Amino acid sequence: MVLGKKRVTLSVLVIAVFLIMTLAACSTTPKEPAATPAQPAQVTDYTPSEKPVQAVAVGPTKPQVAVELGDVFFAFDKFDLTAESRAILAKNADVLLADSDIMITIEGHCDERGTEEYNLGLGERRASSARNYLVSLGVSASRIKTISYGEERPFKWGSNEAAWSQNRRAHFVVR
Amino acid sequence: MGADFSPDGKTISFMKNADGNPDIYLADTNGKINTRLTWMKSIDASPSWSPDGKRIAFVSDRFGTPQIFVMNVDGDKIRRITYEGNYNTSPAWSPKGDLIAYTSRVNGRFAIALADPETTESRLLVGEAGNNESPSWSPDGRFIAFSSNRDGVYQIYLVDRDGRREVRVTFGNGDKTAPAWSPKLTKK
Repeated sequence: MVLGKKRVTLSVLVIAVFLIMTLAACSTTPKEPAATPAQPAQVTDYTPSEKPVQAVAVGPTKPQVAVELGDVFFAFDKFDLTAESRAILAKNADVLLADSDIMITIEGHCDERGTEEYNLGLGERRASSARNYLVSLGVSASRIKTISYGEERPFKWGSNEAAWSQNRRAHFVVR
Repeated sequence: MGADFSPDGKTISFMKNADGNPDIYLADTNGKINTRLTWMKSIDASPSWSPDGKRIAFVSDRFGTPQIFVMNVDGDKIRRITYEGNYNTSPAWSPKGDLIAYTSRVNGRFAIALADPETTESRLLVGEAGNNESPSWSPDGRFIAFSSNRDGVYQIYLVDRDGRREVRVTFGNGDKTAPAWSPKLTKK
């Protein structure tokens, strides 16, 4: 039973990967030389699985609009928004208000320090902070889902402030 | 940690994120949720039972920063136990019931501390070097296992309850964290 399920999941994954590759192949065919190369926003560091997921979510439905939503970052054990964060969120709100079809998930993330349980709560708060600010700017709450990954999905591996500061964030994903 | 058995093994305390922030609940061993213990709009997490089964230590940031609290198993009589520092988490109630071990952030690093749940007096137990986290009492109450990255990657160490001796018990690559003891030490 379990094995069977796993196999199904795997084959779905294989199909998904195949689809991504096909889509990628389509977009790079010389038919459309002017097509903007889907710029990977930050290639420098390890990023978890969000990227391919985003490609699937955005690609087929809205091929010509690259929805760009900035992530916001937090200080250690904090979930309040800095002036810089509010500016980023204001830009995100503009994007969302311009196209009411865009549905998003805001993921709350933490650095590796502290307990996993506490960080799950903290991640939730970070996601909620970002959501509440967007709602205050007029974005409908029904378009925003939040989820906390706590410290479990770091954007950058490492036990130093350079990594930690990247991992304390509210990350925007288009659904 | 995330969930903890009552000393009689009949009840599980755990955290659940239902309305935007984690709260502490009780369930029986069939998984039926019976009681909700915390209701604040704060993070309430990491329940740890007292050995007599009457109280639960937990982490809450209801006053702004994560601190250790104690409550009765009906959610009543909530008392704050830690006051030093602005980041105290991972409570572990000692088998004797006289101390609560926890992780405390001191000068930007994590240390293991002990607090008396009656007097709320606290002292640092481990914290000379590196980060030291996730205390777990041995069933006989003589040792505390914890994880530390003082030698590079996180390894598991033991310390006696007076903090006099420390022993490293794991080696090799890869972080080792969140130690937990088997229920009984076997005596030969």
